Amino acid sequence: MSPLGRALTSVLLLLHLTAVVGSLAIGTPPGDLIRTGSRGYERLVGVYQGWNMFAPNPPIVDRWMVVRGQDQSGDWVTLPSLMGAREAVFVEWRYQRAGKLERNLMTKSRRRALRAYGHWLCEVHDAMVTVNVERHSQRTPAPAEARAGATATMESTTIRTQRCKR
Amino acid sequence: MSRLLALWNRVWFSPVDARSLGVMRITLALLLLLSHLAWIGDLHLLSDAGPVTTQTVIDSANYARWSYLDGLSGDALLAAHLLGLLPLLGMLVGWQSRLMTVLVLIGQIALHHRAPWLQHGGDRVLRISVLALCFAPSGAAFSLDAWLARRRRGTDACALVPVTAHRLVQIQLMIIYLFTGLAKASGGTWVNGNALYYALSSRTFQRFPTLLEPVLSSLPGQLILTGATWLTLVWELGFVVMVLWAPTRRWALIIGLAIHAGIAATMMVGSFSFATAWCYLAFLPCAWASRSRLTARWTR
Repeated sequence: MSPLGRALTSVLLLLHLTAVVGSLAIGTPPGDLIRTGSRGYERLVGVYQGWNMFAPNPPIVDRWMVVRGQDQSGDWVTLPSLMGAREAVFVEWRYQRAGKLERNLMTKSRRRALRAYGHWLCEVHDAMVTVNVERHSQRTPAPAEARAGATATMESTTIRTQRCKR
Repeated sequence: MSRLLALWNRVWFSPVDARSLGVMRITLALLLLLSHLAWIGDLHLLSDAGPVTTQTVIDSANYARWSYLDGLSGDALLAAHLLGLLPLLGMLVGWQSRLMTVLVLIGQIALHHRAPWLQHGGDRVLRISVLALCFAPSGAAFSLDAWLARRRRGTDACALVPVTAHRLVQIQLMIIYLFTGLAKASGGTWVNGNALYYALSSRTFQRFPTLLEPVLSSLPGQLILTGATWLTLVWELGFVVMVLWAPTRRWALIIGLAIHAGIAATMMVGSFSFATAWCYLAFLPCAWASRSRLTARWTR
């Protein structure tokens, strides 16, 4: 490698490593200081360093989305969600990105996206006057409870009610 | 200062066998190809007529973004996505390798920007890995570029390349394990040994829901999971030391591969296990690529 190539590579490496350090130290004064300069690069290239997979704890509550719609006669019907119905299968072969999207839409920071999703549901299911997006959750029983044959209890919460304009 | 510079040069620019980087390029391109093809089944989620329009992403993003998939739907979206296969194929065969790797990186960034909420950890590892390969001439071996150069000059195009890409991948892998290990060490379920029980009980991530049921609901099964939980935690926390210290490096990598094989077999976490396992190539002694029978036949 030529000296110029090495110098140029070194500069790029330093910029990249600085952004990585800033991302790792997020929420600390030095990290935030670095990120004032590196945040654009971090977001543009997507080198954000959050590696909290199943940390600090794995999910103890299983959550999934259910969509219901009210038709003009006032009846509520279950509409197909992005993931489809949760059916008992022997094996799941393919990673379901729709599930990832649904889980993201159920988080508080995605309110705006959830609102857009509600509008889209109204467009797709044009016979509905109202669409409800529900978060269903099921707490995994503790290990001792599972050995005793306990079954998980289920809860549901409506996280978005969309009136469909006609 | 000159010592520091010498150390910097040794760490980032020491020469290594180009064949090991060539194998890394080919295997990464294969992983990305599989991921790209798998996306075809989910393209409706990227469609502008779908649940997440480009405008929704723009409204939510508070950073500069761009994607060649913006505003597309139907056949136009499919065509644009299939066009993204071309640089991947170029990277795979090693034609204009540097340029193709940069184009693949741009494609990965575009996919990320169009659908940030559909991305998983594996996508991020793959994207960062492509970025690392951009820093080195990954087409110096096992490539059309090298073959053409050899024909022109009558000798190997380049037997040695800088270690830059290897180092970036090594550092990234150490970061992943160290920081996830530290985060887990602060969580109660990892310390009390129940974490894997909960992770495998989650319907969201289960690959074999019915098959695992007897393991999850029996004492022997739960005890095995407790042992596996502690092994995972200790190994993640100790990975950096184990992999940097030559006598334990092999074990750090063997245990890691076993853990990732277990995750891939039992859990739906996308390409994460495969992408992370790919990073292990950067830790293998660079001579391995020239020693293996397959590569020896290729270069004969």
